Amino acid sequence: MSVSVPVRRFFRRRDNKGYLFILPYFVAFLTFQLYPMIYTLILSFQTPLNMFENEFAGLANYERLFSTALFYQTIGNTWYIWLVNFVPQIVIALFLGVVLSDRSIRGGQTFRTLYFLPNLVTAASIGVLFAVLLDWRFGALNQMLLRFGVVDEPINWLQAPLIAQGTVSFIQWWQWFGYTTIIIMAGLSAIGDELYEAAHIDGASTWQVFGRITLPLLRPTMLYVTVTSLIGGLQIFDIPRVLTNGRGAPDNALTTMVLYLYNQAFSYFNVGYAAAVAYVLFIMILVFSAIAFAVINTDRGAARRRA
Amino acid sequence: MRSLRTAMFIWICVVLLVYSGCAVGQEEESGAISGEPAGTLVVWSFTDELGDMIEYFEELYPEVEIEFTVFPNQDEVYLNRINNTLRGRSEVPDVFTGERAWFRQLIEAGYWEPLSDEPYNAEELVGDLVPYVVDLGRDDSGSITALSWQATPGGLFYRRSIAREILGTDDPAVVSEYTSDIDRFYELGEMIKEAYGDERFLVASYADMLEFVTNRRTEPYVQGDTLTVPAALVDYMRIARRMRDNRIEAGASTWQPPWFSSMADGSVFAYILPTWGLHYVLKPNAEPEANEGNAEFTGDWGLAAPPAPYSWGGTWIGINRFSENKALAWELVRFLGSDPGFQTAWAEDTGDFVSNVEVIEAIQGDFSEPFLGGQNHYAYFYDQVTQVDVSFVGPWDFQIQNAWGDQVDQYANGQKTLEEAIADFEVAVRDIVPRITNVVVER
Repeated sequence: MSVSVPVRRFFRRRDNKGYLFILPYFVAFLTFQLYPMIYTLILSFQTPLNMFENEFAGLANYERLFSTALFYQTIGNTWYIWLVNFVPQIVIALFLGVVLSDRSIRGGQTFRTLYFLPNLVTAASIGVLFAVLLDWRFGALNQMLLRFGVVDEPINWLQAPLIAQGTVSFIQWWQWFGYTTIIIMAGLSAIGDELYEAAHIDGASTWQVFGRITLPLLRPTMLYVTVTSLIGGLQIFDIPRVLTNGRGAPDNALTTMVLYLYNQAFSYFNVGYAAAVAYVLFIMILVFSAIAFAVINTDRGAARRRA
Repeated sequence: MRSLRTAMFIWICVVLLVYSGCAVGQEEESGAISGEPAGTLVVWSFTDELGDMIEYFEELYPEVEIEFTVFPNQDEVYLNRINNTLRGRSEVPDVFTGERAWFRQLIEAGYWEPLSDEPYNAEELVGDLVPYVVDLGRDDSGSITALSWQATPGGLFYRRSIAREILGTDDPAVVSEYTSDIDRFYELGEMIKEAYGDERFLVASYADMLEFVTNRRTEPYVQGDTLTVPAALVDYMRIARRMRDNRIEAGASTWQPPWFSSMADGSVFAYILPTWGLHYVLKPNAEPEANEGNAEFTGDWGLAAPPAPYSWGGTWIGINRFSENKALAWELVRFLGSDPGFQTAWAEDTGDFVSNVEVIEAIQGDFSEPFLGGQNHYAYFYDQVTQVDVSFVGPWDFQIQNAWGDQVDQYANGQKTLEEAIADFEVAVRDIVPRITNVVVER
């Protein structure tokens, strides 16, 4: 076995050697990205006979998907969890970013690091941690409340849908507000000092400076944060998975879109149906990303025109 | 220089390719056996005890090398690995295991080689084996696809000290009078609550009862496109609520850390566990030091009859239908699943309950388990194994029971009425097994 002569001749030309360098990426892309995407599409038109064999089912999976109330519920859950986490996150990050950027405040670096720390822990272990903290009979939170006499009976936190969803939002918020703060601080540092000096000389109040200079110039940064957070938020999976042992309980309150997909594929082995869920999810994220990028781009265009 | 490096790179790639090709070729050649078994087998399982059993096999056949790998099935990792591997028609592993909760899915998919006919003739072994173990491993056409080294009838393990306090005696026969009937079992829970307040409980969790509850049925859940929920499951939902409301159970979810720690701290009277639960769950968690041989067992545990006979779990072992090494693989499966010599040694070394009736009958009189205060668990389980019925086991039991369990949790916590819980179960189960169009709940 040896490399054939035409191949060797092809690569002897200097211009063609570049292909060798880009080859690994394309091999990996075709094997691990393009092929699975096409195969998933094919699967989404099939239904399992058993774990080994599938049969062609046409659009049945998509029909089932759009007529299943639970699927719409998972979309609602995902958006709800994301919004309840994102709104406080951006408000607090904005506040902290502005405060920590103020040079008259000491220890900004230290706080920035502290706030960022939760982001270094993997989401799954945070999920386990909270599951232990919130355990009904033996969790630290209930033990504390009982000890201080706040409640007489332990509260089964994770069996209450709203509290369970709130917990996930809280974890997300806690994990990501430090990261967002840092991104916002980077955006703030890009705003020229001369603007603030000019405002100061013109006698603008703090609120006026914030509303007329900081916020408008921070818009691209905020959009970036929103888009990345949304794409991540629509794919939320690990924390609900760990917190509920994969059941999405109570009452599917924590069944997010991806958890639903995962359970259908890997717990219930409805592979074709899960592939259909994956494609709907894919298109949904694609649309929202396209909208967000369009907004960013028109914003840039407008900025350029203003300049 | 540059062209030289490129040439070197391509050359190395070629050399590596050729070598890997050779390696594959060699493995294939060693597959054939003649006379004494020899060769290499790849074995996958989700539990590690199989590793210890393989040593018995390797001792007997030193020419056989077994590559054994454990993939724990936490989050269905093992099941998905088997599924993906076999869907890819891989010839590796040669042999792999499945658990009762889901192995009917493997059989339906035809992942295991049928063993009833030539050249395996597994039917010849059947006479010696516990019938339910063999029957559960049969595929739709009736052919045996997997064997098991164990039978797993269930029991109820209790703390003798609490029994003495409450009933005045720790005699298993007297305790069984209370534990073998669900109403009297509950009554016992109230007695414990009265005596100890909120310090001690009848069971760690109502969910511990799920296994004997789900064994109290006679038909599979799914038949055609109809799912039938037996009355026993509805009763279970009601009693779970009563147990939680009245603090009869400790509120520790099965298999969670508080559940394991409750075995050691003496706060729980009874654990409803089968044969393997004694050796692999209760002993190592209740008295870890003694289990490792660093102390004496206190003998504070006893074995009594559960509210209904049941069997729980069990591991079956079969041959990958795409394996290129089936003859040798069959030697291993036959050895573990039926060989009297091996099963006798295994039972005597570990106390685990085996599947060969001849072996069980021969050794059952000799056991005296120090953890159980000298009680003979083998004789008890032998009596129970004859009562095991598994005609109702189906491929979706695990998922269906999980979905029911979710609703039991909601109902027990007072978040739903019984009707709401049942209605929500119907919605959930249709989403799990889409071909179900009709759900019948027996009351």
